[in-house]
Amino acid sequence: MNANARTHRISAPQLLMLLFLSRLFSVLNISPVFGTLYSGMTLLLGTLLSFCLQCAFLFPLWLLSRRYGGKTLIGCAGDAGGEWLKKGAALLFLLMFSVQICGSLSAFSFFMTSIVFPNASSVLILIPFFLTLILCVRWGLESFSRAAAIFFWLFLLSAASICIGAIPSADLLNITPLPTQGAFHNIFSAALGEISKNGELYCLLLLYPSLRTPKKAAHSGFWFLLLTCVFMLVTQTVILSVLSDFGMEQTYPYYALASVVDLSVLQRLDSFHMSLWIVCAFFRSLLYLFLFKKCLGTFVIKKKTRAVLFYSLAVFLFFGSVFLADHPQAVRALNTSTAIVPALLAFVFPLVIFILLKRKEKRNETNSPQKTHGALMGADR
Amino acid sequence: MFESVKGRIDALKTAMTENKPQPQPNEHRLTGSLADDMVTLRAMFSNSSDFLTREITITGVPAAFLMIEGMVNLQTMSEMLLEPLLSHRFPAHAKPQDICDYIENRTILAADTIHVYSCEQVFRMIMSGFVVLLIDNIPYACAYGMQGFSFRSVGEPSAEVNELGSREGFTEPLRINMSMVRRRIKSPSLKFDLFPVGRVSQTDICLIYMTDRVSKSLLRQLKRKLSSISLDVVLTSGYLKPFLSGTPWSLFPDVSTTERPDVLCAKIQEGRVAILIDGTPFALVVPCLFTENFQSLDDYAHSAFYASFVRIIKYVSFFVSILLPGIYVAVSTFHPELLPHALLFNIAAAEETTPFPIGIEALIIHFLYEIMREAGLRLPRPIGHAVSIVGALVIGDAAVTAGLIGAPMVMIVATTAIASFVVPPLYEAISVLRFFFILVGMSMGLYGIILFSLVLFVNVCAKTSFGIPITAPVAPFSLSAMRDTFLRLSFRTLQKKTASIEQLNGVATGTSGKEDTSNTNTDPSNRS
Repeated sequence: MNANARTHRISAPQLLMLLFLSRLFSVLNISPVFGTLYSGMTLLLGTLLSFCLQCAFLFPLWLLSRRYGGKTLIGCAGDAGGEWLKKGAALLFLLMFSVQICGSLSAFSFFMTSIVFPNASSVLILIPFFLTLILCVRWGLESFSRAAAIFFWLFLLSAASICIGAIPSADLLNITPLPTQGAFHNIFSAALGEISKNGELYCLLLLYPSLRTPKKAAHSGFWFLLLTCVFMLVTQTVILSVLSDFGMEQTYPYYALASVVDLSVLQRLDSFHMSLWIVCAFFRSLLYLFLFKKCLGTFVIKKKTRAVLFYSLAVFLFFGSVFLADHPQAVRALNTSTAIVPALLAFVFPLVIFILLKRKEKRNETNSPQKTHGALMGADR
Repeated sequence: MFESVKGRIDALKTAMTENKPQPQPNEHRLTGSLADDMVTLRAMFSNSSDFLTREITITGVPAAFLMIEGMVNLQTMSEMLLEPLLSHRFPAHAKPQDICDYIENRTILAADTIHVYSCEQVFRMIMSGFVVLLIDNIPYACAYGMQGFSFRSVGEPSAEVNELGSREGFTEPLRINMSMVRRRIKSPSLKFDLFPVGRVSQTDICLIYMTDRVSKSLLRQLKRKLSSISLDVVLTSGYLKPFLSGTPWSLFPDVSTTERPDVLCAKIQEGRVAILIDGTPFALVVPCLFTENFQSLDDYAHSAFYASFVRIIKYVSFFVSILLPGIYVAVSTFHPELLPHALLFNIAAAEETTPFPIGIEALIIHFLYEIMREAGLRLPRPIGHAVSIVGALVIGDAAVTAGLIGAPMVMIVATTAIASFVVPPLYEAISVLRFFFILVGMSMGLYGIILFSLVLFVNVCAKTSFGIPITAPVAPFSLSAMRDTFLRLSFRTLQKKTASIEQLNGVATGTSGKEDTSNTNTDPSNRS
């Protein structure tokens, strides 16, 4: 590894905080369909179970990062199955990131146009947001990871303010108990629902070579999952104990909680929530847009062509987001159809790639004993 | 044994040769003929009125003293140079070389004696206040440091006032500033590197650093940047700043400025490099971190708890000064539900009588404030005070009474203005950002403010100063450096280990004086 390869890297805590902020975008928005199906206790237990299941999803990451720390999953795919598999993997991720970006931006726009600026045009809301994203992507992963590390603490402070402000109205008896029938099925469904929302699991597979210590990627992943789980449990407990099932019927239960809470001279804390929401939406979209650009690099080597292609596709993403923002049914359909993707991209696909790599190594060792897996390792990030 | 002694002698010889200015290939070498050299030199000076020559004869050998009027101490020159030379009885028909040997070996004519070999070097020496002696048939000239120009004496720095610190500030002549630094750090590892900058002005600049603390890559980068400067003149530190800065359009500084020798010493002790420029009392220091703007020398004179309290006040003031007007406009225009009812009614009552929307009102009043500040800044002091009084009366009283602006807005502007003076190094950034935040606050409310804050944060986080992210030690995080960031811990804790600036780039392991792979964030290709 040359000297330059050591630069432009982020630390494990920075990655953890970036992923946490990104993940919370979907955590703060508990789907109303979700709420009507499950009781409060089911939701809490489902969150716990989803944490345990997601830990298992880190296994392929652990294998790949320990053995091929210098390469992303796409790079490994190239080694395992040649250029076509590499491009196929990149295309798969590219499509998934496009869906995630459009989904996130449309959800964000839907929130802003329904709660903060009622009846405002989603185009007007999304234009400054999208321009901001394009500008920040240019500054690179390091810069927004550092910013995420700073905003993480501001986020926790704001979230703690809302929770502390809500404590006087909290009553644990408001949390509805488990139903007498089909409890386990409901808990399991709730857990799977949570996993389907966690796109950050497969982001890790493209980000771990950017870590200063890529071998510890799985550790970062574990701490990310734990932190998210703790945050979710705390917020869900507060929401359920203050608003009970009414909170579950809200489109934005966390917002509903923030708007009934007052702290010191501030009458309502919904603006705090709005700030948190914007911060999370920003980091999530920024992360996905960055990875989208990175995947694009697999197809186009030339810098100028890549930049032109990226900006052109970004315009398409923008219009896609505007379209989805005005058609919530399409978003729902998209979410349902891609629910299985995190499991496939974070668990099945990397495991297959790992097995292929191992087989190839074995074959190489049989053909020429001096060519070991070390020959396959590189610095393709 | 013999080899080692021979090696040392060679090294000494090399060092001595390096100290002598060697003529460059494109320079005019001194011929040894006094008449010819004088013609060349007079042509170089274009017979300028302040170029003085005094031609004398020493035991029949023609010689000449060259100097610039007003830059040489004439009394010292006559006492230490002319009198001993003219009164000494040289043997009859002494050769020119004998006169030279006498000057070099048997007199202490000047502490600072340098041999120069080309007309260009003679020119530079004369311009620096040296007296140059040319002797016929000697192919080099002797330059004697006898500077005697008048300069401002060492006084209290006007731009960096301290309560309990030293009262000494830098002054204009470079050598005096160098001596002030040397007096404070009596260490052999303190090094000064002098070289000229500016094609026409040939301004002397001096790099100051601790050889055992500074990173070699930092020094190399700095020297490369300085040598790439092709300005004609360098008159103040501001001329060099853009060349040292990574991004010219950035709002926050990545090169710090100081007028105080004690501050400079503290910074170079942390592995930074300072640049003194002849003719200006402001030294530049690189790299510069964002958190440095909130530190002052008084923090280390007060007790730890008070210094920490002052630090927190500074950080709060910074955010108040850039965000308060924007948030006030955003909240009162888009999110009034955030405010307590009593406060909301008061604001509404005050704003009801004013003709402008609250955002426009904020913009106008801040613009007026900036005009008055600029007007008062460069005027003579008595007139400056008059401008302040008129401004305060017009804005503070008459405008409110006339119903042009609301009283809460006056309070906001006053609070913002005072808060912006708490962190003087960031004043420029604060003034500009305030307007941006008002604009986004009035057009998009808190959404705009948060969005703009995010862009600003990511931009600041992307910025590096000579490979060190300016947001260090917060991001990348360094626990040891945090002892003196938001809080200032006691000296018992601080003395354990002085953090080197090199350790804050998040990559280097902090070995001073060694090559490091600095975390330069300038190549966008590596980011994606």
